[in-house]
Amino acid sequence: MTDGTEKMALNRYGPGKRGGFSDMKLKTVVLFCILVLFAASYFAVKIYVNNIGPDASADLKKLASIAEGFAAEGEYEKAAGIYEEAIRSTGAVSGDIYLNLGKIYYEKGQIGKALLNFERARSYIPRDGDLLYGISKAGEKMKRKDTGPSGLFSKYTFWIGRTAAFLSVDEAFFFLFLSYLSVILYILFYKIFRKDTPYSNLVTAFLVFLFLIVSAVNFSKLYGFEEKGIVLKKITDAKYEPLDDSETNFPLYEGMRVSILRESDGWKRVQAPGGAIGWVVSDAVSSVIDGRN
Amino acid sequence: MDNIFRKTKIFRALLPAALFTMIFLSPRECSSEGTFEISLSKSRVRPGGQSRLILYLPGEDAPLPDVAGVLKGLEVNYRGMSLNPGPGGIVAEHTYSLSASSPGVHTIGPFEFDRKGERYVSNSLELTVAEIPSEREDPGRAAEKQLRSRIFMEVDIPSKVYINELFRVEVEFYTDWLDIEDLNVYDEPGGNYINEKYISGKTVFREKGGKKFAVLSFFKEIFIPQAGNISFGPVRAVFRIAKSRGDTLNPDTGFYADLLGKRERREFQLEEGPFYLRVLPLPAEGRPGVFNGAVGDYEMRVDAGEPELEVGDMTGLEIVITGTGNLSTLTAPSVEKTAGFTVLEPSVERTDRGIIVEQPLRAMSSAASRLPEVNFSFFDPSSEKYRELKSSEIPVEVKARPGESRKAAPDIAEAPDAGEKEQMTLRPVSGPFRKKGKFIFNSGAVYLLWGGPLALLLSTAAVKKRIDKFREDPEYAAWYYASRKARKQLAGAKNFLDKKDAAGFYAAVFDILQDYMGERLMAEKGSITMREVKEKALKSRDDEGIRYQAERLFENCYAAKFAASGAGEEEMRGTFSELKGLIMELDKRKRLL
Repeated sequence: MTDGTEKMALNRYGPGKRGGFSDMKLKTVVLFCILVLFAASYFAVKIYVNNIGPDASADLKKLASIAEGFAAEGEYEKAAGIYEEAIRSTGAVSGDIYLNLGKIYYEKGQIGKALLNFERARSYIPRDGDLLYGISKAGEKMKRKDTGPSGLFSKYTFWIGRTAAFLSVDEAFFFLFLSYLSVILYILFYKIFRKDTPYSNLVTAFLVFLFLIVSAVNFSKLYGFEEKGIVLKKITDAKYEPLDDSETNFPLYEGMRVSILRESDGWKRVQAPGGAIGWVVSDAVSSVIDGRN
Repeated sequence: MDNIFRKTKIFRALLPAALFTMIFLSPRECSSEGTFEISLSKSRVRPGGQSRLILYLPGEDAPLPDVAGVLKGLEVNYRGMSLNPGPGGIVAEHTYSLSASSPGVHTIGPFEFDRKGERYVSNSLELTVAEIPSEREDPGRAAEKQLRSRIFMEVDIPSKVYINELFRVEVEFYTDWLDIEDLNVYDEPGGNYINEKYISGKTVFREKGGKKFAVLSFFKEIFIPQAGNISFGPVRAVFRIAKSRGDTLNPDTGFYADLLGKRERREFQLEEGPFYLRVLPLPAEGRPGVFNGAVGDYEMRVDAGEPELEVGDMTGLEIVITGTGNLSTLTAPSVEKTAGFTVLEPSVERTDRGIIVEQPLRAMSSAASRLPEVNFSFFDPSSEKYRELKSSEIPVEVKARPGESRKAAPDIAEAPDAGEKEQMTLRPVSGPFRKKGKFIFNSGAVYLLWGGPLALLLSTAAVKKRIDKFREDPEYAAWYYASRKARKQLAGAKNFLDKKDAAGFYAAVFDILQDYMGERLMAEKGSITMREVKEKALKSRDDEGIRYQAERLFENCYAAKFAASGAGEEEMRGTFSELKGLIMELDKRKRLL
């Protein structure tokens, strides 16, 4: 190509010319897309997570106030029944409802159900003082204490789990998403649009480190959350096979946290905090995620 | 006459008195002895067989005669009583079973009893105990009767129980080595109790009437929740006997006979009863103040939680009640309301042997020194008395919370639940509310949140790459835009062709040629002529064909400028396909022409 031709080519197809997009235009479009994405995500969360309707909200408030009245009179059985029915009929929940239910079951001496509801409340209001008090008091009543974290997070990374305990499930996901988004944006604006910046590698290393730390904390919250369950019966046998006459592998005690690995024909395959696996009757263990068995 | 008249008057006066004396003081009516009837269900039984004796006593309050004392040499068992209306009022029917192991004739009665100074005497009957002769009977019936002396059943059931007392009905099935198959024992279901199935017990060997029998026992435990007289049964045993064909009396137990089909099976049924029970209400006398209706014989164990507490702490009692009896009558025992502790609602778990009660308590005062006592009472039917169990004293230390002064236990009557209410204040629920079990990470939004930024990153990278390509490679850009524009323009030319507008068509073709070649040669559009194309592009020998094609197209366009009307449709189509072919061919070369 001659010099004249090249000049013509630049005039014709150079940045901002007929070649279409300049970098600036592209950046603008990308930023616009990010805004659209945020808006879409906000509405998606609203639809999928928070959309319960005004009627359900009003019903729930009404039933909750009735239950509070019964509890104030010491009629815990009725209060618990109304709360459970309110959750079942409206399909709506809040951290406060689970906290109140946990308190009621604690007062009734049903430590397994109390801890189950406290754990459910912890998914929404993990830093609530009342909740932390309730969990510690109910924990004291357990016949056998949990043996601590196991599996992915051993005692060496226990602090990660402790940090994650102070985040709600959605907060943990939000921070994980934020760290993911920051990596994406970094790649977009520092790797795609601006190549070979002087501190490019340093920034990359720092961001990756930050991403790993944030991911570890938040992943520890979400990892296995869906499998998390609480033992409801005072004592239940975890058997080698899902059969009544199968031999007992190990016992589980009320309030213990287990992982529910599978469910089949009235039995649940669970993993105890120590890592041992066995089958228990379905009623003996309930999932922390409400609505699952 | 007067004398006669006087005598008549006296006679008239004495007549009612005489009649009264005759009626009320007659020898029959003056007798102080009454009668009552007795009956036997069978007057002749085989040795070991049973006959039912019924005494029909007048009135509900008639005392029982000494039946066993009168009937020597017979086994007498009382089976129960029922009250039935009779011609002279209520008749109490008392039933006994009589059996004798040795042959003979037994006189049944007369029995007697005294009531309010009046003696009642029954009639008497005869019970013959002997092998029943079979000569007069047909062989099948005789065989069956003989079989019944070899297979029979005895039912043991108490004649008197208390309400909710768990009692055992035992059935013993006697057989002298016959092959019994598919034995099923059951009784007629009654309305006053839950009819459980019989449980098969042990098989033992026993001698009766000089014969050895295998005794299969069955039992079940039932209770009756209301007082009164009830009937139970009859109890039936249905079974099959395997025996040799044609042999009615000597069943062959040989395995080979069965294998060879020489054996046949016959179905039989035995029946005993019905039996009569008197269900008594629990006595009012000696009933403890706290009695929740437990019937049986139980033990209680009470375990406490932490011995050291702080005011406001929860603790609890584990109360384990185990024993024998009607476990369904067990409820949580009473826990003493004591100063210093609030007694909360207990939870009860039922086990095979009793109940486990978790009794939560809340420490309310640092002055409390012991946990509340547990009281449990039950009625023991074997001793026919109430029994009370009490937990031993459990010491506990309740510390004041930091910042609180040690204070006396509040009076129970004063404010029993004050602390409980304070502790149990629930938080008013105001929202915001969420869908049950839904979080962002397990909702549909997660796809958008993870996938959206990634898709944005990838598409931006792709667009940026293209921008850079255009910037760095103008020849490529020229090819790209020339080709894209030509495709659009060809569609426009096709429109003119379809309309058979020769002038428009050739003007469009000329524009396409100029634009395409202008882009590909990086030259101004207006400067592109046939000569330009010849001079600047397609100079190699291989391009001769394409060059010729381009020249022809230019020529056609020039010619049409001056005589467009001369161009026919066929010619236009030829030009169009030639132009298309030329562009397709040139599109294959992405460098400058």
